[in-house]
Amino acid sequence: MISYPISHAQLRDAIRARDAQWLAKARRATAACVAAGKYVKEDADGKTIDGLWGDIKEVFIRLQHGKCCYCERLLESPAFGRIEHDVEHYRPKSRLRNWFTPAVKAAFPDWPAALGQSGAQAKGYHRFAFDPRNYATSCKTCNSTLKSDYFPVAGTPKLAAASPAGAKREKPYLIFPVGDGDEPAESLIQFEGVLAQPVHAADTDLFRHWRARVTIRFFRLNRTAPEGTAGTAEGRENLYRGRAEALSALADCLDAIETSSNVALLEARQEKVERLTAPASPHTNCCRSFLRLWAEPATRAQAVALWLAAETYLQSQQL
Amino acid sequence: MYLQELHIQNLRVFAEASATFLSPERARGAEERNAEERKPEYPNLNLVLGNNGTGKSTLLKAIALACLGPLAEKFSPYLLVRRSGKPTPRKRASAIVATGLPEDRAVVRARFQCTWQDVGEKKPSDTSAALAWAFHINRTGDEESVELLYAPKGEVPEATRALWAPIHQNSSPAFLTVGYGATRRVDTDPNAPTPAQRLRTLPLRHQRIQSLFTEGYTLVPLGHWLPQLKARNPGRFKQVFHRINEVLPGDIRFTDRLDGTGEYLFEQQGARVPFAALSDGCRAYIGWVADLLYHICFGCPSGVKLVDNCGIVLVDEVDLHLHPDWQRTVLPRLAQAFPRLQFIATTHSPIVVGTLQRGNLWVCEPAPDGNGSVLAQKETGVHGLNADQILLTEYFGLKTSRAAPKERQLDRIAAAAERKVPGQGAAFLRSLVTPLEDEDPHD
Ligand SMILES: [Zn+2]
Repeated sequence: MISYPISHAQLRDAIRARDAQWLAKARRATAACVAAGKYVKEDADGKTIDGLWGDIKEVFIRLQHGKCCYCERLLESPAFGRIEHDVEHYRPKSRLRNWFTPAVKAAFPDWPAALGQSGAQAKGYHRFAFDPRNYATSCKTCNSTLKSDYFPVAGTPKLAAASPAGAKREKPYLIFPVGDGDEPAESLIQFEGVLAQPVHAADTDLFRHWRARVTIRFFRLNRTAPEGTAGTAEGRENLYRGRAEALSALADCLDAIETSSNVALLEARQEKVERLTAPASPHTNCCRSFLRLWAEPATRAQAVALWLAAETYLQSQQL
Repeated sequence: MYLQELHIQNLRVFAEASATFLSPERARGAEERNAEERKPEYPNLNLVLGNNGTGKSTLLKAIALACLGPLAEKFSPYLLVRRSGKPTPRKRASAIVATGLPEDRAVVRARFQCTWQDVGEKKPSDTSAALAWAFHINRTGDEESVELLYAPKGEVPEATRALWAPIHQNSSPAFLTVGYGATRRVDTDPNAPTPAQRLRTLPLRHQRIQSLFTEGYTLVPLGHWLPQLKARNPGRFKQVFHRINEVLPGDIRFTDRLDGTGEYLFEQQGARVPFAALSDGCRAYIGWVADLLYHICFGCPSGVKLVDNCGIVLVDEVDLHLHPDWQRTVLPRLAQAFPRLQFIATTHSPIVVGTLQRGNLWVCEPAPDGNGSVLAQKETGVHGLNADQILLTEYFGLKTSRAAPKERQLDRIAAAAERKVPGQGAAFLRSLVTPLEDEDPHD
């Protein structure tokens, strides 16, 4: 997971460029929801407002370089991507489901008493249903299967907040990677090989540590979610396979750079390293984390061990 | 007769393959290895699955030929011998080294168990006799012929010849074997050949398996024999009537009424419809079940119940055109309606696969050396899983599935990484490729 920074003004410009009427429509739709006191699918005149966000899906597909905002898989390009990308409402629009079921609690035996666990709410954040600061695009697995109407927070849900910034005091666990409302995802989650892990240790920054832990489990960025939650109890094999492929290509390049005597090849490989660690490549966070391990003499041996293990794993997948 | 073991060499996609099969008799034996095999829920079902071109139909053909015993010599199988590209002299030589066989010869070996009805007894009993059998299929140009393996001139040893003797009589109930190919159909034309006319063109025991070898081969329609049976032997007619209704799902019923053209009527959602008006799936299914009942009735000794008949039924693509709801019950219903028949069927359907246990299932899959197909039985079962889950298992090869202890180990490593325990990244990747038993239990 990495962040795709954009200011509110820049985002509105991009939306206007895509659909000059959209912001006005969204304003009326928001007014209809506020008037009703809940999320409604039609405005007062009976006009459908549900799904209005679909009209600006391409804005987010482009901003996120065609990647899922949570799992960093590369999906189809904007021309064909409408079907593959979901517009994700970070804060659910119509209700909140309880994510902290007994099974989830049991899966976190070291959960600290200091951090709260929010429950279900009959209503959602209807004021943000048509607020583009609440949007990102994600794959169907992350959005439909896993995200659903969950939004675990450490404090009390601020359902009546007027803006996403105002709601921040509820202390959401899930990291939101689009815009300028949240801190950079990479300051919270890093990778060791193909596994995601928190940047901060629990004893240095408790909340940041647990934001990463919850986000990783929630989207199953590594492995299974606890029993009793949606989906099957298996790993998202595609994710670690994709990360292993990226890591293998990067390591190959880094190794060749150190032994290369051909200037043209050297430059090509340096460009390739930049490309593989740029936001437009899939699994950028994984690659950047590996690059840091490689570049640091103290952790070079660890990087080499990860590389070799990744090669062995990829070989085994050829069968 | 039941098939217990089959070994084939050089047959179409199979360089070499062998399998053991469940049968009603075998399930009673105490020789089985583990609890599941000792007492499978349906001890008379064998299901072979695999992708197209992995040899499922070939396997059924080989079994059908084996079941013909000495009659197979008069049968001309079509293109069964393995062809592996243009035979160059060098390739020929290497093929002989690999399988010990010249490239234009396939070998089929079978071990059968004969029951009371094969050894000439008139009533069901526990009598049984082992019968080992083997034959070659030779290819000369485009022609293939069956040659018995026992002696250079194809002579059958004395004991075996005596056991096979009843197979030469049409009316004998011995060695009942029927087979249904994937293009089976029932001729609803009133001028279709009657059973008596069929006998003039093809021997009865060849007819019973012809559908596996001939595209679009037509089966015997109910209207051609059931009315006569009703008149001649009402008791047996009643048994046929009940068997048909037993294998049909709840939403369709067989009536013993005929319409004006002599076709049997079925009741579906309160309406009576003739056989020809049923859906493709209904016709494909009822068609072969009715044909099977015809062949059981043909040789069944008087005084013996239809359900007590032993024999082998081969069905290619048992899920053919069947509605998913039917697929969920087709094999269990057949197993219960015909408890003394051994079924060997193939399927593409994960729904059908999910109704059986590990011991009932064989998979035709690419050989590890990339050379054709092999037959394999898997370590894990799929009984009770839904179709989506089954598609993800090794039975359908969409992904490599890992055993539960392995999944738990991966979970533990990932959880440790999430707690920032160092060194988990490489451990995880290594664990993805290492079988569980190779690992240090204290790891
Ligand atoms: Zn995703």
